[in-house]
Amino acid sequence: MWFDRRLIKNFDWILLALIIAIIGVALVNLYSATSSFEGRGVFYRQALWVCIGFGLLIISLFFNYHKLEKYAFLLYGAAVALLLLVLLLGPTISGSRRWITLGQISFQPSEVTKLILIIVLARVFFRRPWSEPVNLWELLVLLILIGAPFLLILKEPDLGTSLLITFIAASMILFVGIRWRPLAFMTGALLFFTPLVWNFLKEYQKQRITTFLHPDRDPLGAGYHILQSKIAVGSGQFAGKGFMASTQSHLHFLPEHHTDFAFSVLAEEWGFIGSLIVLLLFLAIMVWGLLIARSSRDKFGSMVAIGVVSMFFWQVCINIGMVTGLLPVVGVPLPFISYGGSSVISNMLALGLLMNISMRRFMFS
Amino acid sequence: MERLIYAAKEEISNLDLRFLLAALIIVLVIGSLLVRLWFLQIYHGTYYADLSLNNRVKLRYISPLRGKIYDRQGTLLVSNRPSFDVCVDLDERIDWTKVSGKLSPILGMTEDELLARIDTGERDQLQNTVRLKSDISWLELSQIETNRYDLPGVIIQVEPKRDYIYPGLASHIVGFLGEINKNELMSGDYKNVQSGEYIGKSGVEKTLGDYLRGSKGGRQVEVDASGREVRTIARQNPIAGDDIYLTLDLSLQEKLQEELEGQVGAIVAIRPSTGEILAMASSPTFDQNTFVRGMTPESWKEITSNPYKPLQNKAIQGQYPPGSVFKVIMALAGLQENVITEQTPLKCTGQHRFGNRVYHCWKKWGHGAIKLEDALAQSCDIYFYQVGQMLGVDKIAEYARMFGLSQPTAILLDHEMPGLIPTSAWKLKRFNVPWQKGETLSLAIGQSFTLVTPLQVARFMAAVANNGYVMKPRLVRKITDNEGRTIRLMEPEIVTTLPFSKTHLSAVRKALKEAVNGERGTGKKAQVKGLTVAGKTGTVQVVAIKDAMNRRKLEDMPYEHRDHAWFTCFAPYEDPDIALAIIIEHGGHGGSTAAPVAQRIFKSYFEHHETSGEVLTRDWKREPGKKNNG
Repeated sequence: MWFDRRLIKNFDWILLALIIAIIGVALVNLYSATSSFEGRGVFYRQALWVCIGFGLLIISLFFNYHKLEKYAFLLYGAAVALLLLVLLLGPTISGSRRWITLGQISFQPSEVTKLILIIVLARVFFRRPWSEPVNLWELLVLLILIGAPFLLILKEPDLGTSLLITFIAASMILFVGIRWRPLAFMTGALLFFTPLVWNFLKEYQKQRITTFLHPDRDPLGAGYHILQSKIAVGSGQFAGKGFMASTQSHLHFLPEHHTDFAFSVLAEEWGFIGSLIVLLLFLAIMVWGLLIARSSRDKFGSMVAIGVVSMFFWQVCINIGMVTGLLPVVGVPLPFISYGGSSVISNMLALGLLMNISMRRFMFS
Repeated sequence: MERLIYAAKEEISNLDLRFLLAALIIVLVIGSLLVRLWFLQIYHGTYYADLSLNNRVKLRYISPLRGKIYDRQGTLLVSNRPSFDVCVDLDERIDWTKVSGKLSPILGMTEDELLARIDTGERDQLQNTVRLKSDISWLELSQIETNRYDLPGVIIQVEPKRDYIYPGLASHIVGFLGEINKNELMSGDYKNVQSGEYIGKSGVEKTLGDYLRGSKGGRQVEVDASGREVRTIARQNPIAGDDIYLTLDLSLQEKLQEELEGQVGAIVAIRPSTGEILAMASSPTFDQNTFVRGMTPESWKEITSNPYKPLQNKAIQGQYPPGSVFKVIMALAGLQENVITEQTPLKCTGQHRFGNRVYHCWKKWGHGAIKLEDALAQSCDIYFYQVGQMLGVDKIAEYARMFGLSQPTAILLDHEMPGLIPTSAWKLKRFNVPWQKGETLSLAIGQSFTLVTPLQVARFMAAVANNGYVMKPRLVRKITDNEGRTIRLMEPEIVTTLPFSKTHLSAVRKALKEAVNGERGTGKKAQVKGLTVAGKTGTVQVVAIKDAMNRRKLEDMPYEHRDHAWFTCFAPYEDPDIALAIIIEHGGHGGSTAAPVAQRIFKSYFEHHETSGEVLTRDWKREPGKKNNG
């Protein structure tokens, strides 16, 4: 931990600005979304997590991200261990075991696993030249590496996050390149295993997917949520109803309006304009992340950056797709905008990594 | 070197392509999300804005029909009837004074009462409604329906209500419903039930509640600015609960309850070959429909303050000393342990000295030299004192446990009591005093600390009747879904196979036959013409009376001091179809009070029923669990 002039010189102010912007928007939105429901408690907790996350981000900047190369597998082991711990010891809340509680604080290992998986995959890939696509054997190893957390998270049950890490991993693999034979094998295996995974799913999860395909079949449950979400979003129209004025969420029509459906509140209050701004902010972060990946001198940094970008990409797409009725309800939070301490921390650390890589792009380890 | 640079350059430009591709994909996808948002917010914006105004899409639940309960022949015992509740929707901004003004004459409640209910009445959380009056009449219903336009925000909810077709009959077995309370909600046992809904609180309504409940349906409705339903957007039909077919025989159940009228006690009728409960009655009983209609505090007080506890199912909750009925077990235990044989005579002089005490037989001058068959048929105490002495308390307990005593039978009902069989270890733990040998004597004739339930007695008698198999008591024959398809079919289950030889069992059965049909049998009053009944009487002392001479006539003794009367039996002797256990609290002498009850029951039953068609070979080789068509 030593201070190099170059770090300050190459500090990524733009990324910092983007981060502050998105956090600001998120907190303001959360303030409105929780004003009548559970009261301020939720808002203050989120603000606290944001501060802690931001603090951790700043601290992490002092460390060279290359250190992660060494500890990648150790972190992976820890993540898997935590996931097992959650399944065995975690309290069952609303029918699922996703959290580990230490007194007042509860913590979701699946959120951190996202980031750790990116780091591990980057570690696996970083010695290979860009031009060499992944072959069958490597693919098998990768499958095991991804498969373990995937199954553990699926068992919690958390369909959304397990699919999310699969998509992130797939994006990273596809970027590295894959020969057509392993790809065919992969697709084949996917088709083969889907019915198996289908059996793994709980009734309500299967229901959510069938509801998505036939929303008229579940007017009481998920079908209702989606309908209410679309009403909330659509009724925002161009300029929105105004701060604190969303009727759908305030009058209890939108369940989970501070978690999965937080964006619906935003769309309702700030309209098309507001939604556009938020989407553009996320887009900016993603494109900026790609630029960071490109400008990074070492493959590890690039791969991590690509992983982080895909992490944001998929979270944004799945959540907003869900909220607008394009995708089934699978419980993927929107970064920062959805309430959730672990989500805030993991997204914050992810952006911290981006910043870290960006700062050190002219340094060689 | 040049080649390396060239390769590196190519690698890098190839890389740039990938980044470009990635960026393009991201922009495209985000773009399509924006298009979707535009679609919802701009293109259809006004439509959604309209729907969101005044909360125009709502969820209204439809209660499912609860499953029905039938007897073994398919006679309907418990059904549902519609009940109409008047509710108001609190989401609407409505001038309630106007509405209550209109409602007051219709419902017969004052405007103030109505307004008070609207203000402070309990809310249905999900639909945000308050119930003003439940179970309204057809007249009230039609008046509200015709005046719909003037009653905005008023909703009629149709709720199915339970209809107990035979009030007071099998009340303890069927049970009743009640509103779910806080503890039950938090326990997690009732996952799909909301506050304000009804669940089974006792009997089969409770233990099979998950089958009976069904699943809720609902409608997404669009309402106008005044809260009137405009249209149904979507609908999901409720799924009616599963139907339960009990093993009970309604006419037999009626007969049993009739026999208990005016008495306190219980009767259990069980089929020895399968363990099916053909009838189970407890007295006093209660009318479940009072729970449905909404109990007034007075009627509730009446039920709970009744000292004979009508809500208690004495067949499984009543724990009584078995009295002489226990001698059946003693006989088999003695034979098995070889301390007696069928031919061994023991001496009964009417008095038996043990330690420094004298124990008596009920027959003052004794039975003389008596063998097993007579000892059982005439219920000689001293014979069994001696058997008891030879076996010892722990051996006796071992055999008693084999018959299922001292444990719950795991019948599908709540609050079953296990009874008690004392052992030396138990006494030490409980009283800190060791077991005295003299206590074994009273244990042998079914007094002492021993406690049994009528169900346990019926079951062990059935085990003797079916040649040595302790069966699991079954209350349910089958469960069908709401379309009549069988989803569960109950099979007979053997809990314990007794170790006694067929010869010994046969000898005991013969003695029981003698008890009813022999000259000096104690159970003579259970004789039925044209049918061979076998059984055992029991008389349980409630108050210790030292000298047999001082026992007064029954009518002269206060009720609480009278002995309990037991009689347990089975019939027909050759091919047992039913085993009964009867206890009449404070009924006096088993032979005089309980035995005649059995006689009347068998008479009525066998007049109307054929025997079960059980396969039975000459040497009593029997396969329990053969399906019967009774």
